[in-house]
Amino acid sequence: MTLWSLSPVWFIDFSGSLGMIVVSCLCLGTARRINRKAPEHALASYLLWLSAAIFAFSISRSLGHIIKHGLYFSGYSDTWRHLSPVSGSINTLTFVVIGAVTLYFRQIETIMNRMSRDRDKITVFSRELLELNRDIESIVSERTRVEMGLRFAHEIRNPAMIIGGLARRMDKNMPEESPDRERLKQIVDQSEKLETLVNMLDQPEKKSSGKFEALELSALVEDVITIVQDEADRKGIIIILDRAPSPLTFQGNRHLIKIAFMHILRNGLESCASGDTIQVVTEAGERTVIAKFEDNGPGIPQEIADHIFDPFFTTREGSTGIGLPYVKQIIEEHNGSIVLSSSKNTGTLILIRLPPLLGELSRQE
Amino acid sequence: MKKNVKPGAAAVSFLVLLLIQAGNPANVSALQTHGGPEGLYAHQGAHLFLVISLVIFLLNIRRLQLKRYKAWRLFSGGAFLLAMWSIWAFIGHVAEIMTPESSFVTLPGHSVPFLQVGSWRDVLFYFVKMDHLVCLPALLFFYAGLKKLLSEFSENGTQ
Ligand SMILES: Nc1ncnc2c1ncn2[C@@H]1O[C@H](COP(=O)(O)OP(=O)(O)O)[C@@H](O)[C@H]1O
Ligand SMILES: [Mg+2]
Repeated sequence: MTLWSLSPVWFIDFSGSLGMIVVSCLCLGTARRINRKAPEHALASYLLWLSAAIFAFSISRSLGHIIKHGLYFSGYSDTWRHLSPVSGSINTLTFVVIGAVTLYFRQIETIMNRMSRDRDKITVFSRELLELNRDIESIVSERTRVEMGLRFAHEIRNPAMIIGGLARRMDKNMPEESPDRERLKQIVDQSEKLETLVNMLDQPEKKSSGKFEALELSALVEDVITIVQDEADRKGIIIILDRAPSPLTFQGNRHLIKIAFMHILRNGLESCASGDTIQVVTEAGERTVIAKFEDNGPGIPQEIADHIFDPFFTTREGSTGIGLPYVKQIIEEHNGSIVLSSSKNTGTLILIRLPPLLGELSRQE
Repeated sequence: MKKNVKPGAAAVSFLVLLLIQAGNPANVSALQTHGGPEGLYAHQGAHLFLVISLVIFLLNIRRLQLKRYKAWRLFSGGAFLLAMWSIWAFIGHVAEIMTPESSFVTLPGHSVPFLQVGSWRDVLFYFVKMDHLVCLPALLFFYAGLKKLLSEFSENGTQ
């Protein structure tokens, strides 16, 4: 039988306890600094809790051990017999706390995933917004060009007509052998060219289809519903999508159509109350694709419904009233039609028809 | 998470509680009048619970492939060591119970007692009592991980 001095054990225990206190203080301090750097960050506050649990554990256990050694060397070993169960119990609690906090990590993961999903969503939305902005800009500049052409034609038509008319009359009255006859003929010719040019400018310009692409109506509607879904959930309004079984392809500008649908859904959400339903149906019509937006909200009185597509008409305070006229303009830009039928208390139905993609239609037939 | 709950404050009140208890032996004996085994069972149970939750923590880190990041490598090192320590301490308590009071002898001229080493059990007790060799490194790993995260947070602003 050999005797081993407990000195090394006690030395490691004592200095280790001091070390635990120091390091756990450092941990807690660092976690607090991280938290101050990123106060809203889920991971930062999680680490603060974990550090606090580890701090409580280290302090409780290490102080217990230090006190134990202190009591031994000052001759109060018996006191430790009383203290030991208390220290042990507190240690027990701190283990459980550390364990519980580490288990909570799964929750943090969920929160962080949700946050990063939301961040991705925002990125997508802002990119779409940017593209929409670009599209609107190009539409506006297109419009401006057409309008300038029209004004130009308008201003120039009268002088051109007058010059042409006068020249033709002079030509009729001029004697055959006059030396000026040839020159006058040239004036008549040129003014006729001018008149043709003016008429050409005056023709309504063909719709530019540069930004148009093949779109699928149901998918687009679904996208828009996803965007307003949060708002609907918050208000307790149920949105039901009843999508056509087969794809409904049409030619259009993705962003503008989305904006139009969004306006319609927003109006519905703004008008309806909790418990109301907005039903969205997509279907194939006769040589059209159809999107129906029907709600069982308060409806629109006839006198208002008559003016609903007039710009700047609104019943909402602080609203621009530019929504539905803009929607109508977008739909007409796509050679489509929009009809609103509503009466008080029965809700509102908005029916949009768009011409299908012809190639697609013939392939299906 | 409620903002007004401060984990730091919670930890400090824990500490205060401990100090009050430690400085007040009368109160202590009122709390713990009998030395029944249930306290030890709870304590050992807590050690096992800690091991299990740390293992789950480690599995989550692996599943999320967080080991790509240095801070998380350090955290998982810390969690692994802490789990090892918890097992170590569990064995320590068992060794404690198995080692009778009579195994300790005080020799004249020595303030620290000696352990009579007669079997593997005594050797085990001797080594298992040096558990700080495991738990202090565990904490150092955790601290290094926090340091690393702090420097990353400082670089990237509040990202
Ligand atoms: N689904 C609907 N249910 C009831 N009222 C509606 C609905 N959609 C539109 N309205 C009415 O039509 C008006 C005009 O709508 P809109 O042109 O979008 O302009 P704004 O929404 O800016 O007021 C709204 O103020 C509202 O009174
Ligand atoms: Mg509106």
